[in-house]
Amino acid sequence: MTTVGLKDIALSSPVLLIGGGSLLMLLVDVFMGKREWPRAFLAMAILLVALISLGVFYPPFQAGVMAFNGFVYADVFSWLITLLVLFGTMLTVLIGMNVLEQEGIESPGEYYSLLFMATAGAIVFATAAELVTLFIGLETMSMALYCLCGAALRSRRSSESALKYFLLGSFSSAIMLYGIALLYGITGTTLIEPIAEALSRTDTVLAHCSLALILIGFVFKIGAVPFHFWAPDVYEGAPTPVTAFMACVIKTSAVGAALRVLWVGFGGQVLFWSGTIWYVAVLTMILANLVALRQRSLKRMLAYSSIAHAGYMMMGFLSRGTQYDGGAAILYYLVVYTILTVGAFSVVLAVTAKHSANPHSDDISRFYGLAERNPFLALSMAVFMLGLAGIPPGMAGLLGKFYLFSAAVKANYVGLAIVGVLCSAVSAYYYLRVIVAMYFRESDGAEKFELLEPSVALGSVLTLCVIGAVFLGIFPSALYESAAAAMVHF
Amino acid sequence: MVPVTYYLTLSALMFTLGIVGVVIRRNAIVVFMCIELMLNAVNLSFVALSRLVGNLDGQIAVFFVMVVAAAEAAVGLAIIISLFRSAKSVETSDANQLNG
Repeated sequence: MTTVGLKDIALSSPVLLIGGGSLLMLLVDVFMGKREWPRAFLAMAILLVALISLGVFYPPFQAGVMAFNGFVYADVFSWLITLLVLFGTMLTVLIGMNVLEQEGIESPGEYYSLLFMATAGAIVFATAAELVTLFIGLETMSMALYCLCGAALRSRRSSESALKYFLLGSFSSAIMLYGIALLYGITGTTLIEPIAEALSRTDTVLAHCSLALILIGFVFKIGAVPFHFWAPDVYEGAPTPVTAFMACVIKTSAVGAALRVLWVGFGGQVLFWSGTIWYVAVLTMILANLVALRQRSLKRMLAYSSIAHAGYMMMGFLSRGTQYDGGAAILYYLVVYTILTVGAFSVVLAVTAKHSANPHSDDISRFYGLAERNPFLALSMAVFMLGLAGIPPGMAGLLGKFYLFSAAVKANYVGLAIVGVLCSAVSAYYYLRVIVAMYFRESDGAEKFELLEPSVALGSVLTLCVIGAVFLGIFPSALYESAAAAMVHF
Repeated sequence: MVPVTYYLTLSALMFTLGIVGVVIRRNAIVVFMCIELMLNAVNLSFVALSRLVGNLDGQIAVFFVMVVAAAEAAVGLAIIISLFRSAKSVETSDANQLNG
């Protein structure tokens, strides 16, 4: 007989605080009625408390810690992923702070509440050590997100993106759940580590079927080819702060969960899934980068770019173990990618917020001559684009790719690394095109579309992201070493 | 007693029907019903497999899946209504404003 004690509560305190915070936001909103109140400040306060609790209650760099009778991982990897998810949410709250109305979101209380529900779900999804818990986390996260995508109630594009995301998302979750059920039938348990143990004894065709079904679910959530087709539409139609949230937080938590399930749960079936992941990675990198070339809408372009980056990260999945360091490379890449992507979306937000109802508000022509109209926005966008392309001086992105490619080479996937290098060379074209538009084009009528005057919150996010990108490019070792240390205890 | 394989076969059939429905139907509500059918097929699998492996974990999982399915129904119908307000249609082919 096992019980749940204070220790479990303490280890899961970030999730509990964020989940409680989500309800608190709704409750206060009800009591305040129609009156305005500083929702964003309460939201930031809740996030800060969650961050502090993550720092206080977590055992520092200890191996194999679990909570709730082995249902939730509380090790260093979980700690880093939780930190990154909370950080991403914080940036989302900050960039959305003063633009919710302009983005068509009429009930900000509900917006923050749903955002926190999605965050709590994302943390559970990434830290679960049991497949039904993992599924509940996934669904909590996804369902809050379906609502967030449709949060601009009067906008048809927003509702449409919500519907597309909802139908395809719940379809893929159902497929994943069937995989979990089959796996339970084979192994008699839903805990990840006992599953690995049981699979090492009985490796059947049915186990491969269930693995394939679970993989479909993960590939969909990560947004990799061939299950990427929802991403561009959903990213384009959703309000921009929600898009930024999806691009960073959802990807982080899905990658974390997939790593855990594949490396721990299906650690013995490497030969079976590595081939599939190889094809997925290659197809994702090639297709996403080629299609991104012909996008005029910046949000769609960034959507394809995020698909492409998912492809690079899939490469790290194949370099398992401490001698290859694929896990550390993925963690480093996730941090860099989060900073650069949120930064890029906040610039897009500043350009589009005043015309969000117009379907062409994020067309590349609206960025013509941005360097003259607002040098700060243009300069930070240039930093983010160079970073995402991985071209010096965008060192952070370059190093991230270097770590991933070298991990792939160490694990004897030279061909894959070559495809990756070629694809990132192709990607330079569409990232640099934005810089050319901002610096070398006449504004050509773009000046009549008013920019959002960057508020203190948005300005500080941009500054923070620029500093983060530059810092991680110059001093990568601090982050990379702690990521590598996290993977030692994986 | 009915053998477990019968239940598993039925559940696989229901799941396949659900997938086929999602792929070929264009009405958002019907697509959504097919997804619910898939979830319920999984539930049947869980219960049958729980009998097969001889522990209750699978039956507990079903409760969670039922809660998820109920929440999904609420969210899904709300989204469909919100689209219907602006597009005056629940056909997925009319959701065509977002195309690159």
